[in-house]
Amino acid sequence: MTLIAKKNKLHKISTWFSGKRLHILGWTIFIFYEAIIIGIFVGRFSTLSTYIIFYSLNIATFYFHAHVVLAFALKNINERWWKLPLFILLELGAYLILTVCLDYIVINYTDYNGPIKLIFNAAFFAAPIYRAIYFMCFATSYYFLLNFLEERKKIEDLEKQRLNNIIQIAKSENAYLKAQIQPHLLFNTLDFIYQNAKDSSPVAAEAIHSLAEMMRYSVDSNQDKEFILLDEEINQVENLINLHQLRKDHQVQLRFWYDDEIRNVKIIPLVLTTLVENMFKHGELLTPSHPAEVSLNIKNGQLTIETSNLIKAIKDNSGLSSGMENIKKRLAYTYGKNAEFSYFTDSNQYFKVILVIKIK
Amino acid sequence: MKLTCIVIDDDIHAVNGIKSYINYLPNIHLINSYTDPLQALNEITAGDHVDIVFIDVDMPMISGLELSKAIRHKTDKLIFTTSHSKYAYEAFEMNASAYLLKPYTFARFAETVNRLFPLSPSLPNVSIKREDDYFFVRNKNEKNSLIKVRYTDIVAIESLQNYVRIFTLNETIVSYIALSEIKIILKDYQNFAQAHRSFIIAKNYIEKVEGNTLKMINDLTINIGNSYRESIQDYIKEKTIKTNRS
Repeated sequence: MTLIAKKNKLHKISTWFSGKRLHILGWTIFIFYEAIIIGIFVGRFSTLSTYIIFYSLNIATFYFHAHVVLAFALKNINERWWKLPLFILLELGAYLILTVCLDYIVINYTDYNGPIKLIFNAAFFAAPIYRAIYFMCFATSYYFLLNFLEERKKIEDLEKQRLNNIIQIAKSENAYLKAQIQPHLLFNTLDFIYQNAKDSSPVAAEAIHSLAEMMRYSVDSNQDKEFILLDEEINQVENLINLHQLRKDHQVQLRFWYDDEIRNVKIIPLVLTTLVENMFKHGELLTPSHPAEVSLNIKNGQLTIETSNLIKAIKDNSGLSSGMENIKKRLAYTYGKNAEFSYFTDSNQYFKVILVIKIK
Repeated sequence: MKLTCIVIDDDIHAVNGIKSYINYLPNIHLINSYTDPLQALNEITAGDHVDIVFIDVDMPMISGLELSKAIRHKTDKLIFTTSHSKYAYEAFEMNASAYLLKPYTFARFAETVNRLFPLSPSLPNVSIKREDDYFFVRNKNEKNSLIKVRYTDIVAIESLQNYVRIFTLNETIVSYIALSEIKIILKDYQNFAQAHRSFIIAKNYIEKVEGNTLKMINDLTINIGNSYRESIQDYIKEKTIKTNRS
């Protein structure tokens, strides 16, 4: 064997051991507990070879039960009821036969001089049957634990997959919108309308301008980027508010608080705009005594976005929770524990959203 | 001295639009405008040096991009006007001083020009007689009728994109003026101070100070902006009665 091959083999062994680290540790503790502690209590120890032989058998039984017996017996739901008991009986039988053989070897070929003799009576078989069932029970819980972890991972993977799909769909919808009309024609036309309207109907001209800005944002869109400047979202929200103000004759009671330096903060796209769109959709924003607010703050590397608005008397919660769930998931996906997102309705019928993100 | 400028755009409505903007600004003089880029090329290369050329990027025969290269030496600043996306602009910005994305407002136009020529800021004419204790604005809520506003009645002024909301003791007026214009009107009055990016307040109408928010006499609550905090706090400190007990 060449040196490199040897090294490779060593490396393989060491990775195998580090992979099974937890198992080795578990068995070490278990054996230490059984052999030493119980040995001390009972005041009797067996020989080293006995320990090695019987623990090898028990450990092998453990893994055999979990990975072979249960795996095959429970594979087919319809055949479970007869396969499981049959397999367990066979396993038990095999265990007993092996015990007898090993006992024979221990008694005749090692320095063993303990109390056990090869006499085939009930007392002789009681101990190994107890041991076998004992380890099989352990193995069964191990099997279900493995299954549970695997299920959980599968669900997490599915969830991730679903999220990716949502993002993909959003991206392709966006691309579809972009492809529908040539931006150049769109903006030239909007400019034409704007220029013609601005003297005769300044309000119409302003609405067209805000609309054009919003269209430009979605056409130029950075929305498929992971992070964008808050500046872009702020401009989009300003335009959105402006359009609504124009349509409602400036009666919309919504105040947007932020300082200009916050424009340079980076954030994932479509969070702020979605929150404000929700306010227009579900909020009662025309009552002067109950103004709605959106505020952006940054302090000690912590970005806080808060919204608060009176809820519409006639509830239209369609799409609200799914929009909020979507934001929640996208936040969790990107920021994990660095984002805290909560929303609730307080006792004054105000709907409030608080989002805190630790910006690295 | 007035700034000289030339406009090139194959769309007549776009030319007319920018012409009307130029007319609002007292310190810009339009030398000529072209809808035919080839004519523009011939006349500009033969003509005098100018301060600004506004040029459309997308034109027939010769693109604004090519044309801009040919006439770049004849002008101090070159401003692209375009319907393209801002990312397209970034690809050809080497020749340009600035860009205007169509449709653009007068405010954006004026701001761009002022940024390029900071020494001769061209603010629209806001003339007001200082001796009066009031001014008139057009009230959007009442079909643009003119309404009198007394300085002593103003509680706060909120800026909203292209217009302002003036809160007086008795009413709220929405009017199409920029906050910058209002600032010019109010600049001789010590009582007014900026409290936030979008708010000017009358200091004597502050009723309550709670942490970072001001409560005005008409129950309006205003958050103090970071950059304005100090001056507002100085004012409040100045007006606070100090006792030895607190």
